[in-house]
Amino acid sequence: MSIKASTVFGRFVARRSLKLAIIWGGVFGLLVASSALAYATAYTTDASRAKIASTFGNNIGLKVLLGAPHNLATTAGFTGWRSLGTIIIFGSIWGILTASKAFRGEEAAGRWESFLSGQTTMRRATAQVLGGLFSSVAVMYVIVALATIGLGTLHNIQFTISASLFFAVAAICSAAEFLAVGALASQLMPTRAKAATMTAMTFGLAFVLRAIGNVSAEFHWLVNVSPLGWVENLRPLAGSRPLWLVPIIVFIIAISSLAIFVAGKRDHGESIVADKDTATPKTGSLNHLLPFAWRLIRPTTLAWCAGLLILSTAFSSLAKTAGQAFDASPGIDQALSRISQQASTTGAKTFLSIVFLMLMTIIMLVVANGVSAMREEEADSYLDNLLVAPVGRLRWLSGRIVLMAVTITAMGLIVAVGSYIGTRNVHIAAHDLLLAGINVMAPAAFILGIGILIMGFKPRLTSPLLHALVAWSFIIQIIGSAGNINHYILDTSILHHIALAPVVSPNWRVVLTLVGLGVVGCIVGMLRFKARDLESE
Amino acid sequence: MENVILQTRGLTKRYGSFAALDSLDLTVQKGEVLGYLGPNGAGKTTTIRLLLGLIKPTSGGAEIFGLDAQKQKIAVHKRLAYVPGEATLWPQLTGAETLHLLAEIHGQVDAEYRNELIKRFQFEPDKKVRAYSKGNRQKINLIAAFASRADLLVLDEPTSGLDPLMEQVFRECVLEAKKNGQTVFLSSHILDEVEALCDRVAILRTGKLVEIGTLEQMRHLSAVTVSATFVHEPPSIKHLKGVSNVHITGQHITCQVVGPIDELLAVLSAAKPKTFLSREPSLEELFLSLYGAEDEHKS
Repeated sequence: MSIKASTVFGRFVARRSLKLAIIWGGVFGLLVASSALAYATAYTTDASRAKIASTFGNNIGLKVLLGAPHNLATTAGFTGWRSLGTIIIFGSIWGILTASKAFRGEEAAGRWESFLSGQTTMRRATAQVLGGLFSSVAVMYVIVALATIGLGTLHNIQFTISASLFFAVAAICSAAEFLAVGALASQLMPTRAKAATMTAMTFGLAFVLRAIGNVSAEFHWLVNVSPLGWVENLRPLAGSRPLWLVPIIVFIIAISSLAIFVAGKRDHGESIVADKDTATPKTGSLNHLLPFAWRLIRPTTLAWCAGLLILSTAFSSLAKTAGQAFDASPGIDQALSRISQQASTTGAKTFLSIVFLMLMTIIMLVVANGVSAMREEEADSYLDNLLVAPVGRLRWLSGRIVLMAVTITAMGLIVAVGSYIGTRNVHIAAHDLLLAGINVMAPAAFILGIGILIMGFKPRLTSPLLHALVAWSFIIQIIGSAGNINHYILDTSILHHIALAPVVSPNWRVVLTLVGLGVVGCIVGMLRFKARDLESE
Repeated sequence: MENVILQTRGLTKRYGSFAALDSLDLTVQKGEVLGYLGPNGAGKTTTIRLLLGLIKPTSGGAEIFGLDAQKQKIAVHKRLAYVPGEATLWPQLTGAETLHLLAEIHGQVDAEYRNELIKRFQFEPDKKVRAYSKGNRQKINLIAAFASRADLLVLDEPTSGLDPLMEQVFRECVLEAKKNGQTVFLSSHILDEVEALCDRVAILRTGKLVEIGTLEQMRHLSAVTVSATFVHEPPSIKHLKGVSNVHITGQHITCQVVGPIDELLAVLSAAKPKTFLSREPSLEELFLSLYGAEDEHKS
C-alpha cells in the first residue's frame, strides 16, 4: 500500500477540520494579544500591578473559572493566567465538537463506509482520523506560537521565544486532550450527540476537579488528577513547568490508543454501548410543520438555554467581587470603559456589561448555528420531503424564522433572569437587567436576518460567512478595547454599535435599527429563497 | 385534453452553457404508467425536480392536472406523491413516526391500505430511521406514496435497494394503482421493471427526448432480429434493403432488418433453411441500440 493511499482518510479529515482550527488559532492569538496589551498599557506602575495581583489572586470566582493565578504582577504572568484560562475552555469545546463530528458524524453520514471499503481497517482509519485532527492542532499551535512570539517582541511586553513556544504548547493541550477523549467516546457511544455529551461530561468532571482543587487547600491535590489541572500546572509565561507535559502526553497517547483499540472491536455503524434502535411512536408533534421543526431543534435549543442560564448566573455572581476590583483599579476601568464606550463606569455594572457582551456573542453564535442548520436541511435533501408535499417554501422558512425569533427572545430573557439570580447580593434593579436582556436580542436578530439573506442568495456560504461575521465582531470588539483601532474597522463589528447594558441604558435607536435590518434581511432572503433552485450538496 | 395529467412544453433547464434538459415536450395521460428511461446524467432527475417545482426552468413550462407546476405547485402537490431514489429521512424518527409525519404533511392517507402495505413490504415501523438499511428506508417512501392514493405518483428509481421479493411487491402496487385510475411517472434503470409495468416509454439522451411511444410502436420502428441455419452455405443477404449486422458462423446466419421483411424471407426460403427464427427486440435491445447509435454518432 502506498503512503498516499494509507493516509487519504487522515488528509481528508485534516482538510475538513483545518478551517476552524485556523480560525480558533487566530482567536486564541488575538486573545493573548488583547490580554497582554490591555495589561501592559493599563498597569504601568508597580503599585497598580501589586494591587491587581492581590485583588485577582484572592478572587475565588476567578480561580474557579480561569484557574489559580501566578506572578500576576507581571505582564507575562497575567497574560499566561487569563489567556490560558480562557483558551483551555474554548480549546476543549473545539476538541469535543470536532472529534464527535469527525468520528460519529462522518460515520453517520456514510463517508467512513467509502474509506473503509478501500485499503484500510477500522483501527487504521481511526488512527488516520486522529492523525488528521492532531495535524489541525499543530496548525493551531503554529498560529498561537507566531502570535505570542510577535507579541513578545514589543518593548512593553518582552516574552522570550522559548516562553512563547511553551505557552503555545500549553494553549493547544486541552484541545488535544479532548480530541482524544472525543475519539474514544465516539467508539463507545452510538450517536454524535451522545458521544459529544459523554466527552462534555468528562470535561465537566475535569473542570470541577480543578476548580475544587484551586479553591480548597485541603483538596488541592485534585488539580493534579484533572487533565485541565495538568495544563494549568504548566504555568506558561509564569515560571514554566514542562514536567507536567508528561501526564498530558501520556493521557493523550493512552486515550488515543484505547480509541484505536476499541475501534477494532466494533463493527462499522455500531458502538460499544448499544443503541436503542426501537421506540414507541410519539406523534403529538408530527401533525404540523411548526411543532415538528421544534422537535428537531428542541434538544440543542434547550441545552443552549440551560447553558446560558448557568453561565449568566455563574458569571453575574462574580459581579460584586469583580466590581470591587475594577473600582480599585483605574487601569482596568480604562480598558473596560473602552469596551463599554463610557467615559466612567461603576464596578459591578461594568462587569455585568462585559458578561452580557459575552452572552450576546454566544446567542449570536446560537443563531448562526440555527440558520446553518436550516441550510443543512436543504443541502442534505431533508427539505425535499416537505416541499414535495403541499408545503410552500415561505411557509417552511417563515416557521423556522419564527422559532428562531422565539429562541432569541427566550435566551434574552433567560440571561436577564440568570443575571438577576446571580446578582442578588448586589443592588442592581431587575428592570435594568431586563432591559439588558432585551438589548442582547438585537444583534442576534440582525444575525438572523443576515443569515437568511445569505441563505437566499449564496446558500453554500451561509455557515462560513455567518460564523465569520460573529467571530469578526467579537474579535474586533475585544481588540478595540485593548488599543486604538481605526474607527472604520471598529464599525464593522456589530457589537461595537450596541450599548453595553446594564452599565448604560440600551440605545433603542440602535436596537430598533438592528432588529429592523434583521427583519428586512429575513424578508429579502425569504423572497430570494422562494425564487431560486433548491441546492443540495 | 381532459385526460392529460401531465404536459411539458419546451421544458428546458440550463446550467450555464450546459443543457441538463433541452426542450422537453411530453404528455402523460390519466391512468397511464409512463416509463422514463435514460443513462446517468441524461436529465431524468432534473425533469422530476422541475415537475415538482424544486428547481426553476430556464424556459418552457409544465402543467400537472392542468395547473402550472411552478406557480400552483401547492395545489399540484396535494394530488401527487413522490418517491426519490435516495431516501433522506430524519434519523431520529421511527418508521411509524415518519409515515405519520409524511401523511399529515401530505394531508391525504388511506390508513387501512397503509397498514396493509406495511405488512406486504414486511416493514418494521418501530425502528428508528438511522437503524434501517437503505432498502428499508426506501420502503418508508414507497408505503407513504402508495398509501396517499395520490392521483399522480412520481417515482424516481423507486426500487433502489429493494430485494427481488420486495421489487415484486412494488410491481403489484403499481399495477393496483393503475387499476385504481392513478397515473404513474416511473423513472427507472431496471428495464425489466419498465417493460413489465409501463404502457409507454420515453427515452432521454443528453437532455433530449429521443423516443417516446408504446413498446409495440418502438419495436415496429426498430430492427427485427432474424436467425437461420442451413444445410449448405448461407445465402448472401448483405445487399438486401434494410438488412444490417449480418453475422455468418458456418451454416448459421444472424442479421437485423428494418422495414418490410418480404425480400429477405424470399432469399432465405430459396436457400431452404433447416431452422428459422425471427424475434422482436427487447426493451434492453431498443435502449442499447439507441445509445449505440449515439456512440456511433460520436465516433
